[in-house]
Amino acid sequence: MIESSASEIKPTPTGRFTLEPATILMCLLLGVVAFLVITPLTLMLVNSFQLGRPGQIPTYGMDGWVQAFSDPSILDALWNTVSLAVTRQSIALVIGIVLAWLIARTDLPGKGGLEFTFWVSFFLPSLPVALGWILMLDDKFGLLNIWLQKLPFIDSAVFNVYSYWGIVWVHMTTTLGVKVLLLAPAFRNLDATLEESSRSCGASTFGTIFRVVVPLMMPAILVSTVLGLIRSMEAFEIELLLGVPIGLFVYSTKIRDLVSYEPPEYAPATALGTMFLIVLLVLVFVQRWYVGRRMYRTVTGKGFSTRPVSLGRWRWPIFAAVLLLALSVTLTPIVMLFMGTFMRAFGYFDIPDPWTLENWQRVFTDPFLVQSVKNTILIGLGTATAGIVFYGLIAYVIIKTKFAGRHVLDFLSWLPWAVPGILLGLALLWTVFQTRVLLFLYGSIYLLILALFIKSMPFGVQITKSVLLQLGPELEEAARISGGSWLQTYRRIVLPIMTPTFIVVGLVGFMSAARDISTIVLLGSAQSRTMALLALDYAFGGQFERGSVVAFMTSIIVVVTALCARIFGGKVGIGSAGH
Amino acid sequence: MRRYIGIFIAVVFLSIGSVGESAWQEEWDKVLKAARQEGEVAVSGPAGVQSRDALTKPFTDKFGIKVNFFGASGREISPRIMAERRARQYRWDVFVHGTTTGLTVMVPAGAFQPLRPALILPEVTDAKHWRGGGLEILGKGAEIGIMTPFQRGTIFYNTKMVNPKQFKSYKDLLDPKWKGKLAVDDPTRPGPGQATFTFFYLHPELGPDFIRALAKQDLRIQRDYTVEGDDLGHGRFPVLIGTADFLIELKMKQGLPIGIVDPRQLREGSDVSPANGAVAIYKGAPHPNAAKVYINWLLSRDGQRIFPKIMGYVSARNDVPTDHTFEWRVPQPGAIKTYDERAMRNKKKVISLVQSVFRRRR
Repeated sequence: MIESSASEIKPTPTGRFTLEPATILMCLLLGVVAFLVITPLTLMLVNSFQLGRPGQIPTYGMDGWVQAFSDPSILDALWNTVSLAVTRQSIALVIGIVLAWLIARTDLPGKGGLEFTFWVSFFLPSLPVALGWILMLDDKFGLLNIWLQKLPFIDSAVFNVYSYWGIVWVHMTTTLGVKVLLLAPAFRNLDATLEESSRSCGASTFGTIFRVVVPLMMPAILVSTVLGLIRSMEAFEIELLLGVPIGLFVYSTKIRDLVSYEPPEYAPATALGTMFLIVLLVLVFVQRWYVGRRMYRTVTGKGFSTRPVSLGRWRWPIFAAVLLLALSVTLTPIVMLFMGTFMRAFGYFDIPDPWTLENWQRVFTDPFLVQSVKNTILIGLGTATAGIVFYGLIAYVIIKTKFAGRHVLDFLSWLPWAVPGILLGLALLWTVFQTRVLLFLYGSIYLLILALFIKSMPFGVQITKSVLLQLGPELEEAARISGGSWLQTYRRIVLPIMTPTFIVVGLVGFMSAARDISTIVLLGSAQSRTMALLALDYAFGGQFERGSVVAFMTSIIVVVTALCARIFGGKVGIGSAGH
Repeated sequence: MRRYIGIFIAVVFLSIGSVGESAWQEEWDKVLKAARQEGEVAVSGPAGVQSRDALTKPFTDKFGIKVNFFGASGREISPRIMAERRARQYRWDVFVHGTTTGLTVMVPAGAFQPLRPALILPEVTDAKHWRGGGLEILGKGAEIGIMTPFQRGTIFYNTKMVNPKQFKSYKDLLDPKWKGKLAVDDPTRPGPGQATFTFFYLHPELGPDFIRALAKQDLRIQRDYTVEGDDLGHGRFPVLIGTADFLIELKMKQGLPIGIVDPRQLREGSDVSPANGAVAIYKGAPHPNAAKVYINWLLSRDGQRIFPKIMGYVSARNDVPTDHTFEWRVPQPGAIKTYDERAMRNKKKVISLVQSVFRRRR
């Protein structure tokens, strides 16, 4: 089926713009990306051997590596990390694929609203979400446990959020959201005739999903899996809250520990961080090997059908199940977060006067609020716009041209993930000061935009790439034959088809910028304070409820941006374009 | 004749006094004028809305000088400052953080200038206004001023589960009835938990043996002191050792069922620490005059009526009220300091000990 529908991927004739301005542009792109991603990584590696204290004369040696890997608990932490990541990704992947297929390919009622609900779950801040789940699932005071224990046949707590499965569940709230966010646009680019052919050959619905749809969607599925695994390795907020009290430690908390010593122990921290490079190299190798074996074009010059698959009598029961899942991963945390903003002390219902408007009043009269909102929107939009333009260009060069450096560019675009998030801000700080090339931007929001752009590059480029792989060469060839230049082809053919994907890329860039703390703390200034730092200010001051107000407002800004982008995307996306 | 001599002496003294007064006043006016021309002061201070409120608006309201305040923990700000300095970038004027960052990173790197030459106002320089006979200044070049040394609370309890009167000594925590029921802010990482274990280590009646015995009580290690108080209030554990006590005080005011054991009822007392109340001027400050005005204001009666009150600390000045917090927070004479050079010298040993005794829990 795959072979019959898609031809071997070969660089298009558009790639023959060799000595044209396009070639110069591509060389420039390669040079800039190489500088931006190799420098921080190299500096991280060099600093893993640097033993001198901050501010003192550098001395070099292996002590950091010895210290990092001689800790007997590191193996346990590594095992916990891998186990949690694989468990969580396996469950989320299966459910995510089914959800994305239901939303993108079937006649499921209210699928647009359901998809957006899952998006919202991804936009929610993780700490308040975790606290919300503690309030529901704590074995002592969790509301759900208390309600369940009122049943005659239940006499002890059913759930305990402070457990391995508690951590998996709380993560699932956002993991499912990101799977739907990433996979649904790729599923939409699938020509319905492929599914119809499968069914007409006698395959069942599930047979069609797993033997036709899933193999064709492998680039997007693999990218989302690699993304998920790397992100799982980096995660520490929820593990810190739910894992530490039961003695469950993960790899990233070890790195965080070393960075948070005074003075910080960067040598062993960066040595531990190199594990990410190894994992990344393995995952990228597997992904490239798998994707390189097959062809995945689903959008070609031939007719393109988007006719949805009928769910028949299962339509409404499936709708009910998806709705229940969507609401449980979205509504519960939102209600808890929103409720928390009106509480004197989060989760305490039995104190005198538990409800108050003071939190909102205090935040709305905060003199730094307006500037923080403005900075958040500016930095978010800047990161999103830069991401859409440059990630799209990078992905296009990798997939659609014959440029000699395209494989290097592809590899480079993964590399920012080789530096764990907690160390990336630091690596970028070293890049600014040790190369001095970017020093003129220091303290301005432009440097923050650039840093966040680098941080999101693997995500943006790989997601765009996975969808570009679905595009056959015929459309661009037609444009070229009609006299269109490379840039005109990109602007008038590729860009409209890719719009839904670019919206996702832009949104994730916007959201990362709105949430980021580590990069902004190290590179920002008093003038570039964002809402994430404002929320942190409240949390550090023991005013978590007021911090929740800011976090809630941030989520609203992201959701409104997503809604606007969705409305815009709905007008120009592939489905609406009537291909 | 004697009368005339008396009048003469009085006139001489008054003249000397007025010359002294006019000298500092003249210097102050000159510095203030130059500071206003500089127009701003860049302050790195602790993260937290309280510190931002205390360290920005009141100063700007009084002097019309803008405060560029950047809030972050000491461990976040130190690598940034060090990287800037290597690139010869000098962007900060005033440091307001804890002494650990100051003494272990900034002072060895020569990042601060001596503090005393910047002190101008008599109410700051005059020893009589300070508890203990003068402003305490630490660092090999006397760079870090200690604004807010206060007695810390170290044992916290759930009021529905524990009678605090039973604690007469820290050794009461070794009673088998507490096994598996005690939680602690992770002493292997910098923070209030580590400060508490430094106190245990330095106290002659407690020391390393007490730490080893306490570790055998199967302590539940906590990592986030912003949520530890909530967990204590929910009864996840009845007793918590060494969390951020000003946050507990805040949560007590919110009505949570938690309390702090009065250190005065404990035989060994508790330690003294300024928390984030250490102040210094960066070497190469871009706004040197504004930095001087800021430091003098912060250490003045005016500044010390605001900063310690908002932060929940106690000022080292003896002419500002302390009634915003517990009476016992005023430092006891002879109390162990967990913030000075001696404590810093011992920190490595403390960390090594707690890492070894708590390893199986990590």
